[in-house]
Amino acid sequence: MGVRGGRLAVLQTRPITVQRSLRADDDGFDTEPATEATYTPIGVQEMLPGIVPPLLWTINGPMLEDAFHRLFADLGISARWGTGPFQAVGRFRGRAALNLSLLREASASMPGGSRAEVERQYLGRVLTQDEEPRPSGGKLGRGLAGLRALRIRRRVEDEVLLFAEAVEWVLALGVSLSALPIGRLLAYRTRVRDLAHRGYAVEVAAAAGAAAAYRGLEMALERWVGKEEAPLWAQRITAPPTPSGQAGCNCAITLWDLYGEHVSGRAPYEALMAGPPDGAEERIKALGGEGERFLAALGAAMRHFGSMAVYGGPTWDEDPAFVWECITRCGGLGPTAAPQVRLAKTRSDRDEAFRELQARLRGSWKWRLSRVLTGQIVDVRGRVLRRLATDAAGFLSLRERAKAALLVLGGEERRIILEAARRLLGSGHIARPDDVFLLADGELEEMLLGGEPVSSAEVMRRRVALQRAHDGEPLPETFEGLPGVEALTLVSGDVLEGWAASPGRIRGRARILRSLADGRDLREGEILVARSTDPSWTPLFLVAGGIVLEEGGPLSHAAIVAREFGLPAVLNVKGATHLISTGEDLVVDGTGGLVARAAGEEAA
Amino acid sequence: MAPGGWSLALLERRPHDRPPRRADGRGVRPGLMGAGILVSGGILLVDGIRKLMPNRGVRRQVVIARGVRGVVAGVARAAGLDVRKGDLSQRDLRSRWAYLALGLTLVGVAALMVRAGVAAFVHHGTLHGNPWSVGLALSLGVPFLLAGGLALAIAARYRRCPGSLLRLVGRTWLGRLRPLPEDPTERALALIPVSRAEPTRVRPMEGGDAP
Repeated sequence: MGVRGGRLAVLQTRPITVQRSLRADDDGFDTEPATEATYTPIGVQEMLPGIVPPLLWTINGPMLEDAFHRLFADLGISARWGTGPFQAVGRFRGRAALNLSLLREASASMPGGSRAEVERQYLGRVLTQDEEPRPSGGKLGRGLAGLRALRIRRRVEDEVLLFAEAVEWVLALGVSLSALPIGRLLAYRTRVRDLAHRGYAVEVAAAAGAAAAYRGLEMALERWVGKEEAPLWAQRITAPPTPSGQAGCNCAITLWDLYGEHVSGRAPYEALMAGPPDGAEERIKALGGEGERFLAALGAAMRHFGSMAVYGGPTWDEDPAFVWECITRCGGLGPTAAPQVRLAKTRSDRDEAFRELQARLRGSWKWRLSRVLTGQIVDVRGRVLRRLATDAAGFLSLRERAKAALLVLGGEERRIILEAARRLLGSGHIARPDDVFLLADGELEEMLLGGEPVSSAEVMRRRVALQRAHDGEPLPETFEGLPGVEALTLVSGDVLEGWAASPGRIRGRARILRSLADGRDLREGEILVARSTDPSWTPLFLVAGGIVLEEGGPLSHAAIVAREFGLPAVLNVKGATHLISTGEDLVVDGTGGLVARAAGEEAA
Repeated sequence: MAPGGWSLALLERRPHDRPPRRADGRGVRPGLMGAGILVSGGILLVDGIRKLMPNRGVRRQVVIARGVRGVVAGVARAAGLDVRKGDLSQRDLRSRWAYLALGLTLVGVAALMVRAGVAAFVHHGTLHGNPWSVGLALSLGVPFLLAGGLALAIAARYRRCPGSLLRLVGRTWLGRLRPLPEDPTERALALIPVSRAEPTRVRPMEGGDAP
């Protein structure tokens, strides 16, 4: 400060702050990519599919991030975490992605994990021996990691059971949200969120446990039946061992049961089939007693399913058109299409496969000789095999159960969000109910407590940016820094290769589905071809004859449900939605991991 | 043999009657076979124990149920619902044979302990004349004896035990944890700690619902 020529001059210094200039498709909630990190949308799409609006990202993102931190801490994995709030997950052009570099780095310390396994699970790549880094820590370190995994395994199992049951009973409380004062509403939301936080941690831990258990089974089978056959046997003997394993198919099973109990051979059947599914509700309501009972049961079921895909995301009862479509389809399917029949068949196939495998192993002279030489009065390796198969199947079920429970709880979170939207709309803080999804979680809470509202111009800017992101290209399979537009390098031909996710072989017409809404066009026996699926797509698995997906691995939701329903499935077929057209005659070989155009297949 | 007819074979040292064998690799195969037989025996033993314990896993079930109840109570309290107390750790009588076996085992262990302590005190040896050996044996043996006595008393009277003893059974390891009810309604009553008659007892805050 100084005086010069009768003027007071003040020199002020302050740190230079630079505001991130936002791209047209950035609503301000995209993450800054970690330095030199590689990201992939594969794997996270099942939990956070498509465009994730700011509210859902600010709710789900931190919980998912924290779940990875907890898992790494439990397993004693020392990853190089950066300083930003999001390290394990990120949001780019409105879509969620996983930090693949971090997973690669941590994979060597995970039980049953390796870089090759990460590449196989996420990208469907097989590493050469030169590419596979030597595992760090030596045998002792890996042994200790295995022991740690064993220690946390039982805990994960208990946590999943606790979480799933707690969710059921929290819903049973039937809290009337509109009657709660704002303080209570926020307190209730905090408790529900705490439970969801726990659920995310459990889901990620169960997924890691499932991967480890499944890999453990595959490795044992590689020793006993060879590398070629091990993946197929692993698929065949890991159908869910308990009814709780059906959690992933619950919505499909419930819809089928409702159809059987209230519609089939009863008055609502005529009303349902009398016109398009869009007007079915009105037609059934007009029936009175019987129709109303069916509608009440359907409404209760839809409320119970919770969110369709993202925790806190749209619920089934908000957009029942898809459900009506599925209910109508049930009428065209024969009794053998019943999920229970399919699940029972899957289980008997599994038992048959296990007996076949045991007979084959016990029949080999090497097996018998080593059994005699090592004094095994009981067939110890047979017991080990059964144990490994039960563990793998058990963990797959636990993972599905945790995911299903998280989505059910997501329905309650959604109710809270919509109640908040109702109140903000009433007080004039937002112009439209769905504006609430363009707010961050913190902003929503601030506004509920009477804080400064987010300007309508800012809300509009976010809406436009999200729309641009929605209209833009999806994220590439992998990317470093900011994602570019995916450059597809497709190998066209009559035969496409992918991951054999569910055994079996079927021929049918292809149906490309870009979104769940396209599912209305899927006809019975058609091959469902899509980029990826999430739990909300499960009812379509009742109708489809086979599954072909661009993304996913042997442990993804689609693979598990396809195995439960006995549908041939090939996953990780690069560019399937570009190379295959709707109406094409396809042969899906879920055993060999091949998708062939029928003409080519016939020639072969 | 010590004066008074006491003997303690465990404390007697035996000289090596054979020189140790050299490790020449000839023991590998018998070792492997032995390991196989041991593992097989272990598996058969575990199978047998599992068959004998139809109620195994109840403890785990109850621990999980307590966790569930805690979580649900927290959520209910946050929503202003009336949370009532409850107990998921109730225990029932075990079978009469279990008490008899338990009692005899505990009394036997107590007798062995006391006998070993006294023998060490009486015999010529490291602990000869050391009163700590007797004191330690008694302090360990008496609780075992008491527990064994209780178990035998329960075995003798079973359902006709005094109320105080039955209460003890209902709260301690002497009793068997009661499994959670299978019936959905009863299960709900056990796990939802809320009085359904009074769903909400909260009054809207000043200013109403809107922010």
